[in-house]
This record gives sequence, structure tokens and C-alpha cells, in this order.
Amino acid sequence: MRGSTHAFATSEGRHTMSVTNTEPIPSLARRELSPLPAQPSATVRLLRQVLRTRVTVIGLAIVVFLVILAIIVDFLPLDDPNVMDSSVLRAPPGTPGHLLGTDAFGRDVLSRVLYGSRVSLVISFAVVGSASVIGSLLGLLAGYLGGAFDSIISRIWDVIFSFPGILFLLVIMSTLGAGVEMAIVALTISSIPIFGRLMRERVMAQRSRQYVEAARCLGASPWYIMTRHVLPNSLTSVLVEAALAIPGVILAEAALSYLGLGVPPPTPSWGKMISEGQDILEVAPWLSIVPGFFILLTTLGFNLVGDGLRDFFDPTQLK
Amino acid sequence: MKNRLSRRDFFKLSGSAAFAAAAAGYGRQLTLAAERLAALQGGNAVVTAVGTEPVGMDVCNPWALGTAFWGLLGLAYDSWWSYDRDLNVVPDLAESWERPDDSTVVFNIRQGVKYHNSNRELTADDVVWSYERFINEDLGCWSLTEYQQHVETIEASGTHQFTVRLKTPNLLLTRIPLPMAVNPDAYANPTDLLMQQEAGTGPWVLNEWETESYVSFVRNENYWGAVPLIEEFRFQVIPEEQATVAAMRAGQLNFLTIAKIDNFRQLQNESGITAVAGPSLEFRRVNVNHFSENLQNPDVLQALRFGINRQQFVDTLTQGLGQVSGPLSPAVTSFALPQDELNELQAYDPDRARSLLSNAGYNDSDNRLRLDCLSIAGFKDFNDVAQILQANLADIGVDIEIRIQEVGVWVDSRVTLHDYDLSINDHSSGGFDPDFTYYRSDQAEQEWTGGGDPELDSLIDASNVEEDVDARREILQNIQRKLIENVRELYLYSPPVMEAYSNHLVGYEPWPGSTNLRVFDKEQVRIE
Amino acid sequence: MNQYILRRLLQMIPTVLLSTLFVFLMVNMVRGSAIDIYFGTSASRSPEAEAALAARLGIDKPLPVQYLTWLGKIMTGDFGESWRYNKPVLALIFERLSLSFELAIVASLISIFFSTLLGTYLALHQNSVADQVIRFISLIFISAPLYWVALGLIAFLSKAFRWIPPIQYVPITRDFWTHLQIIAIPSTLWGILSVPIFSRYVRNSVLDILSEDYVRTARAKGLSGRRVLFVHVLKNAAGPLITVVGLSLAGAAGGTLLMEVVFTLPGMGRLWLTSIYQRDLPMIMGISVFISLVFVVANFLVDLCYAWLDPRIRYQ
Repeated sequence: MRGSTHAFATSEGRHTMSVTNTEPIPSLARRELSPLPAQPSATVRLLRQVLRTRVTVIGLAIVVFLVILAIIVDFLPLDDPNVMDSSVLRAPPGTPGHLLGTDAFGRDVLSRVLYGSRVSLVISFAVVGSASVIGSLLGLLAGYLGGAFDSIISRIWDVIFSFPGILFLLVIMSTLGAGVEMAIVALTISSIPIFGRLMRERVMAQRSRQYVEAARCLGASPWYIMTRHVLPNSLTSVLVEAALAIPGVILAEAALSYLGLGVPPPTPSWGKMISEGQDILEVAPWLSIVPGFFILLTTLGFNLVGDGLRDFFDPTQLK
Repeated sequence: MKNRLSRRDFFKLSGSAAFAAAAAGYGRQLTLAAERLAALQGGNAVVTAVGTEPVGMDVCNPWALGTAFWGLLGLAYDSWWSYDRDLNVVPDLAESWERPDDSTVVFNIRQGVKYHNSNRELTADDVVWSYERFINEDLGCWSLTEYQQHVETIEASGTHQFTVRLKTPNLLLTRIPLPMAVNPDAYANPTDLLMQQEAGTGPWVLNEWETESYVSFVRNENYWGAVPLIEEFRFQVIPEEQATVAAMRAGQLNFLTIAKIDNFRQLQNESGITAVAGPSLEFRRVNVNHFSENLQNPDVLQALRFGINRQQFVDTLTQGLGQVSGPLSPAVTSFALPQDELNELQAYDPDRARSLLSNAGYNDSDNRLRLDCLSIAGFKDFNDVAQILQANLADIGVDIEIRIQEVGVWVDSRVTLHDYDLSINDHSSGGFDPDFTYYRSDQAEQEWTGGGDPELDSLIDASNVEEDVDARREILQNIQRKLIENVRELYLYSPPVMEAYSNHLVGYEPWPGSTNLRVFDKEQVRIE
Repeated sequence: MNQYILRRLLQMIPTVLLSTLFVFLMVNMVRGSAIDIYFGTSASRSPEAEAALAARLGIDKPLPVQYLTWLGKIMTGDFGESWRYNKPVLALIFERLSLSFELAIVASLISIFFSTLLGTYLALHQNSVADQVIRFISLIFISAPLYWVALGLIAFLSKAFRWIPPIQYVPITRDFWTHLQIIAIPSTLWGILSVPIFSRYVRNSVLDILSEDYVRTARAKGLSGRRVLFVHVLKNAAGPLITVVGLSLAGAAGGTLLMEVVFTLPGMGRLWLTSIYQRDLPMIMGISVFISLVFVVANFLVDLCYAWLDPRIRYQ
């Protein structure tokens, strides 16, 4: 925006100058003729910006660390997370052989929480990934095309969204069986409307902007406008929302475990561990604190990354 | 300038006003709390909590999937006989009874017993009316099949006498199904269900029922027996057991039955509260679906029998307060198998289990037996039991997949679909007499899972009519042996009964084997 | 504007109907029927008794007939009786709806108030130390499961003060002070735990607006920062906040479930859940009508706010 105003002023000025005075003013000529300084490529700009904001780096580091952890956990020298040792029930952290203690069944907390990272991250990535892609696509179409398509899709979203996810899970788990896959499907369906609505709002707001009108006047097809103009501008919110949604899904899974409908035992997930540890908060607080800490770490990481993404896409906000 | 200041001031003012209001409010709360504490202690009510709302008070109500129901029923309705603390049968609503012959029992009803909120007196005709309602097939009463199996007819043989003619001679008193005394006036049609009303004769009268909130009874001032010293009995519906612990501490509850050991431990450490654990009539078991393809090989069943470390359940889930159990809780000392024989029959022998499995063609490494096990979501500690079972059996080469189901789905699986191998369940012998504990092969519970046999059936029939205690014990112990040896089910452990009550409840002593709310009126518990 | 309102109102009806159809289908797809719940694993289950029960409850008819019969009845305002409680469905719902609403509204008000303050502050002081610190604290708030915090709070209160909110629910009309005690903690907790998320929306949208041309124009004109903020920025930045708050209110009818379970409040959420477990069809269908009505009305109000704030939307 800034640039365009400036260019307009310059060309007008130039036009005026050439009509009234055949000899160009030297300074003006120099300004015209000297080339603009070379702009670094977009990638370099991104990297610079990212590194400039240390917090984003920290966030990224955390996320990468957790993902790598989830991948290599099999190769680490850990106890079997499901083996019960009834001689060491509820052992506090620091007990020989159990760095972070044991739970009410005598299972090692450290290995459970590390294996749990896999479950929690897989579920949340899968859910947020699919829901954001599907939701954004639908939202884009609904927001831009409007009309009947919009009405129908919005209606369906409303219906899905208005119901607590419990009913979904009951149906899915009883008709198709419980398990990680089903939990993912159910949580995804419940999450699609969130992204869909968000995308739709953003698209609808963009749709009335001048540049879209301008593009349409120039004869661009709706698809072109959507993908080249509207989508990139609406993506920010979706990406930020996605980054924020990941810890949300982990917590949703925790709530489901609390109501008894989560990941089937004995698979550990952070949410499940918190639910299990809840009853004995006074006696064995580490059972909730350890997975809670990991959830906190994940939340922190993704939030920082989300903010970093946001700052990258909207440089006007950096001072 | 002025604008800016006034806006800021506005925020400051509203903020401090809000804070002041909150502080005043909380201050008032603390005073009120103290008052309430005093009130509860000085007030004359037993306030306890139940996890799910009792479904209804109808004596015939088949929606009875919760123990809270039975506790409430016993407050408002009398039974014909009951137990004393020495486990002798004593008369209650029935003054006396005789057996003129093997197949007849004559009950004499107390005179002058009036129904709640009515002047109508209990007569034998009411008993017959109630019986006819119980056997009405359209109603589908829970004890219908008991009547069909054992009772020929029930007739009024006098205004205060009714006669039961039995199909099964010499049926023990504790096995005779008897209809509860209900006031026929309260029913528009016999097939109606009295959900949030009652029409009984007991020591407590239903007073208020706030859906999903609480149920309250007041004492029956015209009770024929000992009128309770306490004025009110209230059941608060509190789904979360941790919240009940907090409520006990805050003085908002003064009596509690506890399911989870950790909550019990917390209350043990509270001053002003007595927390008691004792042996329970209840025991946990694993249903075995004998129709399942995976369980057709007897070696597999035997492997399961010897591959479970029952002591681990006791250690982990009850912290030693419970006991290993067979098909009858060890609390039933007169009839349960002695502990050493039980430990032999249900020995934990992983090597033997593994060799049995390899006989059946499975092994530890690449051909592990895979079974599934059902559990009910959110129901007591079933999920914990399932996890320990899974860990145990993993050691001997059996991989268990735990399927947690919501209760309606679980019923469907068990009754109709039979699409499972194992299921966590529990059972309680109704009283210290194992009267309703065992099912014949043709009874619904056993029909669904198979595994019954005629020899067992005849033993069960014999146990229903044997009067001599020693002979009966012999029969019942044989039943238990057979049940374990044939792996009709897998029996695990018996959790303790855990109760906590305020020291203001003077005169309350826990009843052996289960929580008995009639103690409050029968033993004249009072509040100080 | 009126046309817009009318259009939106008409659009509400099919949504509600679609919801009820959806719920009806889902409940009938779930395994385990009312008959299973009724008889449980009791030994008295026989085909005759099952058939008699099915006839009495009306579930022996084919599904479309059942649905249409129900639909016909509610058109006349007859929501039927709950199978479990034998009481009229509407009475049971209204008893609880007010509580759920109250919780949601109070929580939302608290939430809006603090999020707007916090979000605006963060937007104005972007990347400062305070920003980072508050962001970090917010993260802790977001990460803790609501029910866990609530249970911990109750346990703490009972140990430290020997006091917890009264467990016996009292409606506002009966005793204001006790009622206040009962709802104060759940709604405050809920409101405060939503602040991190909502303030983030406020912050982001305020930042968006601050970079717009007209804001710069306003400042160039000489308007004070505060005036710019309140008159121009907040009004336009309210959009996403309204959406989010609107959505949380929209979920009020059933979404208060976790709070209700932990704080033992007799709200719609628990009634809903119990009815589902019990397969109490009239209750489930009745509640679903209300849940979707509440949802649809809340959304309508949100859209209305949007249309009011942004005239461009009205004319589409």
C-alpha cells in the first residue's frame, strides 16, 4: 500500500516535469535512473526474521525436539511402559530404576510419558492436519462461492458443532469399535467446523476488499482469485489456529479419557496419565505433574511457532 | 484530558468495586459455612452421597442398574424378615411363619401396620395384589423368573396371613421370593411404575426428589417399629468421588460409602471422621464367553485359570485391605472355600499356564493368543482390573485387547451379540447366605455366556433345599470347586467395604459385608 | 437490515430440524437400546416382556414413523415424557437450562472483560517484557485441563478452609447468596481459563486493525491514541472475539458438561449425558432441539453483530 501511493506520486510528478520543463532536474533524474537496492530472496528474509525473534526459535526447537523424541523413543533404553511391578507402587521420582517414579500399577512414569508423546502427538497432528485441510477447503469454497453451497455447508457445520463430541464418540466407538483411529476420526469431524468457520469469516471479509474487486474487473477467474489472492491472506489465521489447536486436541483427548472414552488401555497418552493421576493428586502428585509438564511444553512450543508464523506472514506488525 | 482520566478511573473503580464485592461475598461465605457446619452437626440429618441418581423407587423397576436403588428401597419398604448382627434370621414385617408341609409356608403379618401418608392398613390382600403385579409378564419384574421357577401361588389365608405354595419342596426361607408390601391405592394401574414416589410401610418416608440433585426422606413418625431418632435422610447426587471427599471434609456430608482406595485413605487421615474398611460380600470376576471361538479349547481355559496373579489385584487395587476370592466372597465365612484350598485351586502358576497354551498350539513369540476383554466405561474400578489382567496375561503369552464400552453397549454385547471373549464384572451374594448367587444353565445370566452343565445345575438345586448347615456347606463348596475347575468364570478378588462417617453420628457401627442403611433406624443412631 | 434478519431467522428452522434428525439417527445407530438398559443383565428378560416394553415406549415402529410421530407432537408443543423419570421433558429441561445459561453467560462476561483488557494491552505493547511474561503465564492456563484444575481447587478449598461450594443446588430465586456461592467458582474458573485464548484473538485482531490505513489516518489527524483505540480499533477488532464468544455461548446448552460433573451442578450437560447412557429417547430428542435452538440463536446474534459492525456484509 505504501509503495503504490509513492509510485503514483512519482509518475505524476514525472509527467508534470516533462511537460513544463524540457531539462530534467538532476536529482530527480538520478532518483529515477539509479536502480533499487537488491532485495534478498523470500527465504532469506524468513530466516532472518525467524532468527531475529529468539522466542520463535525456542518454540521451533521445542517442537522439533518433541517430534524427534516421539520418533526415536523405541530406541531409547527405557522400561516397557506397560510392565507392572507391584513391589514399587506409587514410587516417588528418584527411586532406583525409576527416574520419574511409578504409577498406581507400578509402571515406570518416565517411559510412559515418553511413549505417551507418540500417541498424543500423532493424534493431535492427525486431527489438526486433517481438520484444518478439509475445513479450510470447505470454508474457502463456502466463503467465496456463497449461495446455496454456503448455506448447506454452514448448516452441516452448525449441526456438527452444536453437539458435544461425546455423542459422536459413542456412536463411532460402538459401531466401529474404539481405538486410536476412531478417536482421530471423531475428533477430526468435531474440529472441522472450527477451521471451516474461521476460513469462511476471513474469506468473506477479504472478498469485499478492493484488490479482489480489482482482480475480478481485470477478468480473473474465481478460482484464480481464490487461490492466488484470497487464500494466502486468509491462511494466517488458519495456521495460527492450527498451531493453537494442537494442544487443544491433546486436552480434548484427556477429557475423553476422564469420561472413560479415550485411548484404550494400556497405551499411555499424556491426557490419560493426567486422568489417572488425578485421584491420587495428594499422595502421588508427580503422576499428574510430569505429563502436565509435557503438555505445557508442547503448548508453549506450538504457540511460539504459531506466533512466529504469524509475524512472518504479516510483517506490517513488526516495529 | 478529562476523557482519559475518567475512563481510567472508571476501570479502576469498577475493578475495585468488583474486588470488594467478591471479598465481602467470600467473607460472608466463610461465616455461612461455619454456620452450616454447626447446623449439620446440630441438625438432625444423615447426609450421604451417591454417584448416580437412583433411577426410581418402584419395587419392580427393572431400571435397576445401580446399587443406590436398593439402599433407598430398603428405607421406605419393609422386608418380611431380616438378619441380625449374628446373622440369624429374625422376623421383620412378618411376625412369624410356619411350614405346615414341605411345599407350603404360612406367613403371619403384623397387625396395625399403616402405609405412608395413608390410613390404610396392610393386609394379606395387598400382598396378593403385589404378587400378581410381580408376576405380570407385561411388567417384566426383575424377579419374575424366580417366581416362575419356585412359586406355585401366593394366597391370602386370613386378613393378616398369607400362604405361599412352592413348586420346589423344602425351599429355604432365604430362597423364597416374596413380594414387597406396597399400597395398591398408589397405583392407577398395576402396570404403572412409581418412580419418584413410594407406597411403603418402612421407617422413612420419601419427602423430596430433585432430579439429578438429591433425594430426601423424613422419618416415619407412625412407624410400627423403632422410630428413627434422626429426622432426615438425604442422598446427594455427586458423580465425582473426589468431590464427596471434599464435601465430607467441609462438613456437608456426614456419611459415605467409598469405592476408591485413595479416597478412603484421605478420609482416614481426617480428624472428626471415622473411616472403616471391612470384608465385603462383593467380588470381582471375569465373565467367560463360552460361545467364543477362541475359548473352545479347554487347555486355553485352564491356562487362564492358572495364569492370573490374583494377589496382584489385592495389592494394587486394595492396598492389602481386600482378599483373593473364589466364586463366593471369603467374607461369607460359613460357606466359602477355605483360603488354602482356594489358593491351590486358583494357584498362580505361569509355567503351567504356558505349557497348557503350547499344548493348544500357541506360543510366547510368534503365535500369541489374542483375546479381547470388555469393561464398562466409568464404572467403579473395572478399567483398572482390566489393565492388571492384561499385564498378567501378557506374561504367559496372551495379548488382551481391552474394549471399554458404555454401559448400554456392554449390555448389548453381553446379552445379544456375544462378540467378546472376556468381560470384567462383579457380583455380590445378596447376604451372608449365598441365596441368589448361582445361576442354572437355563437362567438368563448363564444362557448368555454358556458353560453351564447339568451336574452343576443339580448341585445348585440341591443347595436351595438343604436345611442342614454342614450338608449345605458341603454342597456349596462343591459348587465352588466345580465353577473354578470348569472355568465357568475367572474369579479374582473381593474389595473391602469402605465407609466413612462423621463422629457426630453416635451409635453407628458398620454392618458386616456391605453397607446397611437400616442400621440408622434399627440401632437408633443419633446425631450430636 | 430487516431483510437480512428475516432471512437468517428462516434459515434457522432447517438447521434445528436437521439436528434433530441427525441425533435421532445417531442414537438409533448406537448399539444397546432402551430395552437393554431397562432389563440390563437381569434374569427376567423374555421376548414377551421385551415386546411389551417396546410397544409401551413406541419403539417397535419403523424409524421414519417414530421420527415423524415425534416431530408431529413437538409441533403442537408436546415434548412427551422422559422414560427414565416419567416427568414431562420440557419441565426437566427448563429446570436446567437456566443454570447452564447462567454459567455460560457469567463466564463469558468475565472472559470478555479480561480478554479485551489483556489483549489490547498486549497488542499495544507487543514484544515487550510484559508481553512475554503474560504470554507464558497464559500458556500455563491453556495447558491445564479444566476439570483437573477444578478438582484440585475443590480439594484445596476443602483442606485449607474446610469449605466447598454448597453441594445442594439452590436456584437464584430461592436464596441469592447460596446460589451465588454455588456458581461463583465454576463460572469464574471457566471464564478465567478462557482468557488466554480469547485475549489472543483480541490481540491479533487489534494488531490487524492497527496497521490499517484508516487508523494511521486517524492518528495523523491528531486524535489521541486512546480515542483512536476505543472509537476505531476496538469496534472493528471485535469481530473474531464476538465469533469465539458467540460460539462458546452457543455451546452453553450442552457444553457445560465437565463443569457440571466436577462441581455437581444440575445442568443440561449432565442430563444430556445421562439420557444418552440411558437411551431415554424423548429426553434426548427434546434436549437436542434445545441445544440446536440455543446454538442457532447464538449464531444468529453473532452474525447480527457482524452485520452491524461491518455494513459490507449486510448486502451480500
